[in-house]
Amino acid sequence: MDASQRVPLFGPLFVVAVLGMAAAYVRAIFFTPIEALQGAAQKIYYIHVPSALSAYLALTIVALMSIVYLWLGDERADRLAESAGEVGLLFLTGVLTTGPLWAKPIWGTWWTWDARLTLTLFLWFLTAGYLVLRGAIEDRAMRARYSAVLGILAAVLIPFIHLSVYLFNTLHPMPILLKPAKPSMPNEMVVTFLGFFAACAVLCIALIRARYRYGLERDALQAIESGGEEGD
Amino acid sequence: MILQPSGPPDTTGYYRVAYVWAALLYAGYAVLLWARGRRVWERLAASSREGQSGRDA
Repeated sequence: MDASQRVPLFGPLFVVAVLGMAAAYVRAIFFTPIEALQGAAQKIYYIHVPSALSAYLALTIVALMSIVYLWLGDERADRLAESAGEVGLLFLTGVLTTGPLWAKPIWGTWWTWDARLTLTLFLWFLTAGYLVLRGAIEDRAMRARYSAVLGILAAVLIPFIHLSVYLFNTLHPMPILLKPAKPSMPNEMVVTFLGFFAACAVLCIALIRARYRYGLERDALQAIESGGEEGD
Repeated sequence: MILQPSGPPDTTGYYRVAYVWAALLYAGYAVLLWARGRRVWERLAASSREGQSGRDA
């Protein structure tokens, strides 16, 4: 790999994601009405829920790529799973920090050991554990195999987290949009939410892509430094 | 439910903090990833140069 061959980490997709996020921020801040009961804190919903959905997307990619790795032994699948795991942890951190900022003025407390909150925190620890495990094992094949199993198990939590508000008696609000019935929100708020969701999803994919490219270069460097063949 | 004449509670501070924090978090990760990539690339380029000079010698 020489300097002329370098593919930039952040491509046009990242630019689209940044512009999309900027547009979503402007729409949410300046062109979306303030909710009557909760006040401006309700607008946290527009960043909190898309962050959660992006985390689910990233962790689903981890699980799918882990299955592909265990099935085919393809290193690209392992590298993509690692990339999605890191980005998934980022979005989960966004969820777990914006949630309390909404909960404090609305519930009167930053945190409660509610089923959905606790399961999401558990998923954060599992994802962090997934990344720590990857850093702790030297042997590449063993690292990929063990972390693939953990990546699949972590993703099993996602449907439980989504259904936790139905399965348990929780304080967390019921889904407003992701439910079989009509959204319980005015159209202008739905548009803001969908804009934020699209921007967050594109950002998630763009970051996974950039992290994957970083992984490629890191693996190429490791191959050179260990005196072996360069990675793909 | 949209804003009524009586007005909603003032929770603007929490919403501002959440939006600024989310922007910092995601932008911060992107900057960190860029810095990590740059560091790896510099080492990769240095290794390539060393390999090249070794072959020339």
